[in-house]
Amino acid sequence: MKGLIIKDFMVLRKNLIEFVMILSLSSVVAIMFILSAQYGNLASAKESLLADPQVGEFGLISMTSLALTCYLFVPMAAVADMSYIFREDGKAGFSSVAAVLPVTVRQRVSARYITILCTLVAGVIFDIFAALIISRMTELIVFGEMINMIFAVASFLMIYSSLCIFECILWGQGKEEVAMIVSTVIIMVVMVVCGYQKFKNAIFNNDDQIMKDIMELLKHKAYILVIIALVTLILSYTCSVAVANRKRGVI
Amino acid sequence: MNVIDIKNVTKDYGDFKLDNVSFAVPEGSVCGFIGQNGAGKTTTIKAILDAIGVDSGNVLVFGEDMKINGARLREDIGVVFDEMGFHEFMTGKDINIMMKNIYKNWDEKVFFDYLKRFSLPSKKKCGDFSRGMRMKLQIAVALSHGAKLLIMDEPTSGLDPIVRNEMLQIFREYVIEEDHTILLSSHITGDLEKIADEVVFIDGGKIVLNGNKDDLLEKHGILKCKKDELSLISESLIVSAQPGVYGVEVLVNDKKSCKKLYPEMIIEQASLEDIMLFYINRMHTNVACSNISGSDISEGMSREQASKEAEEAL
Repeated sequence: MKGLIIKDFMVLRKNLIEFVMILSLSSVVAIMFILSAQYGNLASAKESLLADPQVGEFGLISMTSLALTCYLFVPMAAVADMSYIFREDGKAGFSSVAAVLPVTVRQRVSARYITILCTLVAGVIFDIFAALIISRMTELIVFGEMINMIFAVASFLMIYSSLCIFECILWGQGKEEVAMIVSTVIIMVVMVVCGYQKFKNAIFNNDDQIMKDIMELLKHKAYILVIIALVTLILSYTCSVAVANRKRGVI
Repeated sequence: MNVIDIKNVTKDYGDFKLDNVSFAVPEGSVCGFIGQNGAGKTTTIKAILDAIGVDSGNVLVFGEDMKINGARLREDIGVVFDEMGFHEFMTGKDINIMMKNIYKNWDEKVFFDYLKRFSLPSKKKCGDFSRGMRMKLQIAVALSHGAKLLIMDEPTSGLDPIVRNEMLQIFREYVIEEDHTILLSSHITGDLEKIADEVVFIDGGKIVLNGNKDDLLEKHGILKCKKDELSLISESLIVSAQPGVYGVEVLVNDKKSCKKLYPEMIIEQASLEDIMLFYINRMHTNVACSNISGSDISEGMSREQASKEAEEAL
């Protein structure tokens, strides 16, 4: 099984240059954003933004936090794309090799899930390090809140990847793009359904309650997302093993 | 002892069916698995390796059920496919790192020795390898973890005669060890004639013929006669008939008896390819054909049918 995880990382290694570029770019943009918010144009605009009744202090902090969440999200998302491994395996015909290795179908599926967990752990470690630097540079957001945001981001990616892996196994080779789209759509639909009334009020009544709830979730209640991610992961893994055992040769 | 023992394996895909397949591969032998493209060779191999689930029947490898102990048994099986299966960006070194973390008995020294022997650069991406090099890489992997059984699916197809010969030499060296066995699927019967001890012939998902290669070659012969002489031949001796250059060519299943019964007729040595073609001809002319073993040949084509078909073909 260890060999299969190593193989998955070898496949991801192909994306290494892309990953390093995204990582560097997002880090630079994040630091520039913070410096600007602290000393530059954003700091100058702060006063006028605060005076604007439509923005206010909460709105300003929320915008800053959301922008930072995006910067934290990008590097993790760049490596956590499991559909890429399925696509590359399919292209090489690796499933025929995997099928004759001395590993069980469960081990083959487990290897894929361990790979995603490892990439997310690496992403979380990098983001914690980045958060440490960013929190020192700004007063808009504290380190504890950023940790919550990092886990929230990792949880979203875990949910996305769990859905993606299951769909790739269920639908077989050549359907990786469909799995990516469907996983994204499922997450968005679930989010909209869960906060339907608040989304409606935000759109039609300019109510910022949904924004406040999202910020509360990201900054203080990331554990809810972590629990949802773990449940999704367990369900996805169990179903993937069952499907892979029935449909041999998909992984 | 049989290293592979397949009993009544059936797998129905709707448009293709592996139909009640049974055969055994004795330890220490080279078993040629022949049949035309789409006959069911790869499906049977996948069933042996438990890479596909079967509808019924069971597969024993080293005397153990593959369904139960598949993962452990695969430690002792080396597999070579007609397509490489490794990612094109991988180098020999990458494959070594991966495999030494998968096989308990992986021997990297043996692996790199094979790479050297096959002139395969260990730092070159295998996507840049030629077809022959890719096959050699697979063979190097298959032989580097102390496998006692080598299963190969069309390893020599698409290769030039020199590389094919080189590979056959490697297989010969491999079976020098008494407990080493090879199941070699191919539609290139010439290769199997050189190396195989046993032959299993599959067509349309059914085992048509299996037995010792020398026995099969010894028993079968091609009788050449005129069209009107066909009716004189005993129906139990005829496998099938087809038009020849000067008359009719008939594959007979008992060459010695034929020579005694029809001394005036010419009976030539049949090759594995001839045997395969005549049996396929027989299958495709919708004549009932049950499993026929090398030592027990039964149910021949009727003389009337053979005569009629030969006439139609002519």
